[in-house]
Amino acid sequence: LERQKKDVQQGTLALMVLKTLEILGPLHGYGIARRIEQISGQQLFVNQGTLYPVLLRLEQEGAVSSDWGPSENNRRARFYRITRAGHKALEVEKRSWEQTTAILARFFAVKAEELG
Amino acid sequence: MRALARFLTRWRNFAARRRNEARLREEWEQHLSGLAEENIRSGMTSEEALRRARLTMGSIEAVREQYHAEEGLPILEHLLMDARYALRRLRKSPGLTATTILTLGLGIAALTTVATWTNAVVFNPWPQVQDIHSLGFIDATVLANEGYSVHYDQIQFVKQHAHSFRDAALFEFIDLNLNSANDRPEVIHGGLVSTNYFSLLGIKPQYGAFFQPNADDRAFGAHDEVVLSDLLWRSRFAADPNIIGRPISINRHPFTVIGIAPPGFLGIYGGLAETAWVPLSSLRSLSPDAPPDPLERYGLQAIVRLAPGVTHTIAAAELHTIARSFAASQHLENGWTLNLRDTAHFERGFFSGINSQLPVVTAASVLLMVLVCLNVSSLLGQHAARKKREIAIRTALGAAPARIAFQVLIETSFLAFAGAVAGWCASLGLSRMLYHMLPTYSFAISLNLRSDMRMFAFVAAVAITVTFLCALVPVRQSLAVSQQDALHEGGSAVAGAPRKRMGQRIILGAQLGICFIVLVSCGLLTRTAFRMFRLNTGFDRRNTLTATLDASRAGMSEPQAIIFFASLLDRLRQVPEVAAATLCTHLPMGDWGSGNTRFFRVPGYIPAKGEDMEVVTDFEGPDFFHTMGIAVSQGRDFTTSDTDRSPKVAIVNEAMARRYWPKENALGRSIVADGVERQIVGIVPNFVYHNPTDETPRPIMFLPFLQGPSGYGAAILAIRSRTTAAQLTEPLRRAVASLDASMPLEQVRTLEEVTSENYQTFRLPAELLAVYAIASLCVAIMGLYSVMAYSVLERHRELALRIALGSTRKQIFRLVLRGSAGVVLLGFAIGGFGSIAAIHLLRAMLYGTAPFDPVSYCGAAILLISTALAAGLLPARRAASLDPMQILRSE
Repeated sequence: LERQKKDVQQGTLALMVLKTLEILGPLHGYGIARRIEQISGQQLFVNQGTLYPVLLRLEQEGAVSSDWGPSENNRRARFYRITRAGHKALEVEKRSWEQTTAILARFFAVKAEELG
Repeated sequence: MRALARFLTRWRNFAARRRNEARLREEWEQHLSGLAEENIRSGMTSEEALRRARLTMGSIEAVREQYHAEEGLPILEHLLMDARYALRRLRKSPGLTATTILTLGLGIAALTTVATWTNAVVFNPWPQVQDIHSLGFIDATVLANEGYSVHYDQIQFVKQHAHSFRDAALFEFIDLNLNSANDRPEVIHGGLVSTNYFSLLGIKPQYGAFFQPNADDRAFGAHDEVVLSDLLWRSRFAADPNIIGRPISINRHPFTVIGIAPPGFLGIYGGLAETAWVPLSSLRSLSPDAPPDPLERYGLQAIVRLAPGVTHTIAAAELHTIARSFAASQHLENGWTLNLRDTAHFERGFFSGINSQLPVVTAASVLLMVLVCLNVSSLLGQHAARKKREIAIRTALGAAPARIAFQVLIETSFLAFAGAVAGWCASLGLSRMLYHMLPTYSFAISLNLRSDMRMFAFVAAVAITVTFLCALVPVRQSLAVSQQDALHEGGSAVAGAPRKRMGQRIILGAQLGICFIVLVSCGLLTRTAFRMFRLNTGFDRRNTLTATLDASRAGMSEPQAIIFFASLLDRLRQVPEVAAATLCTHLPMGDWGSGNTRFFRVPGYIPAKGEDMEVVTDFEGPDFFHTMGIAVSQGRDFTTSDTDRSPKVAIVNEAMARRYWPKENALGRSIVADGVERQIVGIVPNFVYHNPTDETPRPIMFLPFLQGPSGYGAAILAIRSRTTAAQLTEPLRRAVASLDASMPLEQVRTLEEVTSENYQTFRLPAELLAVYAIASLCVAIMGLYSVMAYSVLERHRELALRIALGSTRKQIFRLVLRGSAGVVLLGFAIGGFGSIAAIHLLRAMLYGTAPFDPVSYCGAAILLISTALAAGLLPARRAASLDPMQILRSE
């Protein structure tokens, strides 16, 4: 069953991570992966081999910060939270995605007669 | 900004070699436990849950590289890794490493030496001078010949009228006698300069001051001051700063030291070192014979500083216009004009000597460098072929072709940069050694041979170019490795695949071709030099000692000097070893005093319109032609009785006699020289006056020195010995000292040494090319040898089989040697075509030698064949001495 899930597209994972952190507050890596899968209605599969490098990169860019904290089962886990720069980056990314999808939507909607 | 912050973090991680293994591992564990818990919640046992979680997660190793790639700077890490690996590989084959570095060093040393000289002559001749790009020289065109010196008033006229020049200064090389209390005076080479000379050049004194830039150059005797160079100040005055303001004696006249020039500055006279500078206004103090206005007709060099924003072309055009109006105002005819030269136009002094050699030497260096690159790339290609299996294993383990190519490139760049460093170091010594090969102009030479940023950039550029050129073959070689072939143990064919060696052969052929070009060029230049040397000069160069005596600088007036010289000759004639003794103002084929002209008139000869009535005139002592071994064809030689009280006489050469007395005998006719009527008492055959290549003899007039006045305060003694010239040195010194103990003897040389300077122009390129020829032969021998040795190694089994099947050792020997025959033929073909281009470059330097001189070509061919034989000898002998049983059994 899991085979049929789609891997997250390259480049969009960072956006999803930031959005998830914005809505749900500090989360650890496993939590982020689960939440993204949940939000996508189990249609996406987050590869942990991609997730952790992306988290590292976001931290290096200053979009997220991380710290150790206790997890639900009282084990040590690294929690990620979105920073102010991250909020800003998310806003920029969001707008550009909206633009892209809007453009694509127009292309899908276009009919021959409309172009005269 | 984000990208930069991220880069800095990554750079820090890379620099600290930080690998956050722990962080990834902990996150991994956390993720794993999260998955496992979820599995337990869905009803699995705890072991099963963990197992499934692990299966889903996969191996941490797979992620680690990706994680790490985000963490640090993977490219740099690979670079470091490759660098370490390359160093290890180079250490493992020390022979190859040493050979390559030495070969590259040789080529780069030659190229860098030429570049250093070019830099010293063309780009950065005077590092102390400000902004040399806005400087220019002015010379005059006289009688359609450019390059003449100018007079003071001409440049003052230009200064007054031109808008293109901010300032113009005058200077000239001058010898000075530096007197001291009890020693014999020392002759130093100095500069005679206008007062604004230093300010125009933008030089600041290290001590004291320079001449007042606005002082009057014609205020004769008012500023008898001297500026010392750092060199003279250290060598002669022990770097004493208190010398400023103190008088020193120059030409027996007191001069006040006013300043010390900055270290390294030795004038701008094209590489000839000036070690002290005196102002133009001291001319009358320097010589007791000086006319009331010595600047009126004194030949000077002019240097100008262009006004800001004025281009060279505009300035040159304005200069021509002003020169024309000056010529009109002074009634100068025959197309006299002034020309502007940029500083790169090295026509002055010593630079002109380098000018003619530079293109040939540059071409030879580039050829040698190409040869070296070919050689190194074939060596490295061979090396790569030997490492086939290693590369195949790396490929099998997942190395990308780019990584393998990069690895080869890194290895080559190490070799190239090591070679560049070696070559650069060698060139520092070589460029100085070249001094000794250059014509000895009997002047101290100063060239800026220090390495500057420009040289550094040049060497780095060469190293990078060499890296890419030399890496081409080994990269191709490495990428072409087929895993199957390389890993297949012992499966090599019995005979080496001949097609594979095709590229190798072409490279070798090209190497031999380059050798052939250099050899042919060297042969042609050598033949020219020998031919020049054998040309009949018309005088006898043997067993004659010459020396210069400057009576004027010793404080004598001309009449005093004539008495001094006459009694000196009397004393010399009494020395038993002396066959003949004379003096002159110019030695045949000597540089000094050559080509000075006088105005003359021949009664009855009507000059054509615009015909120039000036003739090259030398002043000679008694027995001059006898001493020089020139037989007077009609009339007589000068004698001791030609004095100021006897009738005025002259001797002319045959060229002059034929030109001005075409229908009658010139002997006994009269000629008016500088307004004095003289009778022609002798006619002498034409001899080589200056340059052995001058084929049309020019008219020359000879006047008796002792009859005076000549205007020369100095004379060159020439003494013919009954035995050898060297034996005359001591008697000459004694004779001079007995007359005047403080008179310095300058330039004591044999006539052969004097004349050889003129041959050096031909000898030098031949000698230089001989060095290149030897170097390229060595490189070619090495390349050929290594290729043949390797091919014998490769063909061990084939050769062993041949021997086992009945080939004699002799046949094997021949078989291996024959392998190089094709390469030699290819070399001839490439070299033959290449030499056509080389001859084009050399044509101007060949005199009396045919460009396709068969001797040069045959000689080069023989040398090339012997080279190939020599390189093949050892491998062939090794092949012939193989033990077939041992080799075939070992497989």
